[in-house]
Amino acid sequence: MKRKILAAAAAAAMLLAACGEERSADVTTTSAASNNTTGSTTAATDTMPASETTAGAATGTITVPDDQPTIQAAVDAAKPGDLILIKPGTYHEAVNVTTDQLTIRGLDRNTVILDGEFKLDNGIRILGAKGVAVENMTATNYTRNGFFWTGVDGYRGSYLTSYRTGDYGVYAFDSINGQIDHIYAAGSPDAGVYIGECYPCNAVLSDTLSEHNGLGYSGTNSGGNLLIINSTFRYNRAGVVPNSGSYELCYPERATTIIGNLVYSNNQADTPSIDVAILAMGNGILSAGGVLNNIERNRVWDHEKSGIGLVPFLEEDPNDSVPTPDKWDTTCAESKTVRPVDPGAGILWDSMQNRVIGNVLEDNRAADLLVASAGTDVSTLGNCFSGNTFTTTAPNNLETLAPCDAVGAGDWKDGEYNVAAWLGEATTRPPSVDYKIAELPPLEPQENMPDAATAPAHPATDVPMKVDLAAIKVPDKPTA
Amino acid sequence: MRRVGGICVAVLAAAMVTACASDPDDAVQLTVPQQPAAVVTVAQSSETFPANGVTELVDALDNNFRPQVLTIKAGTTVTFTNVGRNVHNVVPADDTSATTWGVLDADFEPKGIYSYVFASPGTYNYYCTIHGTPTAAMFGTIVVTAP
Repeated sequence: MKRKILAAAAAAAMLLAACGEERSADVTTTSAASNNTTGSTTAATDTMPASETTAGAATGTITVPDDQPTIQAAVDAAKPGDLILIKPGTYHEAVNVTTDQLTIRGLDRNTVILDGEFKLDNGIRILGAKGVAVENMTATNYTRNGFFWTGVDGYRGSYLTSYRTGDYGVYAFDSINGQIDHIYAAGSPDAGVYIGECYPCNAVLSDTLSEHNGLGYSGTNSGGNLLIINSTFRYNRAGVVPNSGSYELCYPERATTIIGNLVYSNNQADTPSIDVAILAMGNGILSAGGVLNNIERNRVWDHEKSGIGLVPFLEEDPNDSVPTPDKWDTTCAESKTVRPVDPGAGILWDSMQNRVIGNVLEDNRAADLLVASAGTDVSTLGNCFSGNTFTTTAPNNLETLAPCDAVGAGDWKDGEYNVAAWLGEATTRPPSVDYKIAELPPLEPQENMPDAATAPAHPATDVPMKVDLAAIKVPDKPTA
Repeated sequence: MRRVGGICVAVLAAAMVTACASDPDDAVQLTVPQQPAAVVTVAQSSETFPANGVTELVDALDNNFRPQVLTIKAGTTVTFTNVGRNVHNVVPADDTSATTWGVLDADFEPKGIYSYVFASPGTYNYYCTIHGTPTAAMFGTIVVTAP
């Protein structure tokens, strides 16, 4: 074992040099006074009569700027269960929320705009507060994230637009029992939407359009009743990327269900991008060291690399070893109580025991379906493929080699894929574009939530929504 | 997912044929029991004790401190290391400028190290202002007892 670790260490050292990885943070440094809540507000106070804004919620409703001059002031004044209604206007705030069960709602998604002016870090950040719902507004020009939940039990983000942010668009970290729906996310170097470090997450991402990001969706060390459904991921460097790593707790990424999504044309070279998104560029759905995922009934097309790829992930400087399968059920709470011994060498996260079923794939130029490793015999990884519509696979004949719920046969060496080629190609790809100036599609009006002015408070105490997975079909291609 | 080099792995395919612990039969569970999360509060003392040569480690991952609760004897050095891929900071709960102890973002990027000798008994609550509050998300406690 020691010999192997030493070998891995040498390999990792080579890799570090080869990758030229930039380990220093590329996010804008902020002071300790993070999420500065001081800011200015330009609210169109005459666009929505107060009587209309409070209809149906006469008590426990705080209207901004009528009742409180800023969103932060309203949040600070609110009690659990309250509804904060925000009138149209531009709010230069970074809002922190630590009160449970608030509903924070814009009256118009397209004209209630939180603008960080490239100075403030997060549009709305929910820190440990349970059951906070954020609805119907836009966050733009923040140095970190548009909307950020961390350390919460119960969260919901609905009808949100995140546009041009320095890290993630919508970001749920170390949070369980959640729902993210009706999102438009564009212009983040990491992921448009991220759900990470949770197991079981018990969360749903649905009805989302994520484009022109480094990654359309990323989920590190998340899973367990985590559904990524009925959404579109297009024009990112890479589309949907569940992944594992010991730099966050609660590894590995596992048991994410990815069903009914449109994933296409994720070859976009002019986005802001973290380094891994450059490496992953040209892939539709890419499991990077994920296990036990179900990838079903998605329509995936037009990628330079794979439509659906199951690839390894090398962590060069890990904090722990790869857990054995009998540890995959370890909860996040349990993982916080142990401090591992540094393995002292790079570790390899293989994608294992994933099920790829009933997807429709075309024009993915490396292969529609792909599985690869870097040293592990891929025939032993337990991934399976059945009922997909495709033209090419790597290795060849994947559905014969590894059918789901049946015994496979064939030669795994026939058409095996050399993932190493990606590394060399990545060095020649266009580098990240500064998120502040990256070319994005114009921000078009997005769908408003129904009855924003009259719907009662709806804290995130009933999430996630129930989903009939069996009813989800492969979505049709868009006509336009 | 931050600055991960996972897909770089492929370049090492040949070298790592037998090198990595991804084979379940080969993997080793390298975790050790850690202190329980329960915090025993120790009254703040003005009495100081000299450095005792002992160093304890706290990891700042993305986005947690591990261990979240650490109990030490006065005079022990605690070394915080940013082992994540995001920038973090370590600030006392009542001193977000870290004027008494702690380290701010600029000096605590990935692989950043900060050490401090806790000379006086007491309970020292701290957090990362980017990713937590004194009581939620990325926060921790150093409990310092008299030697």
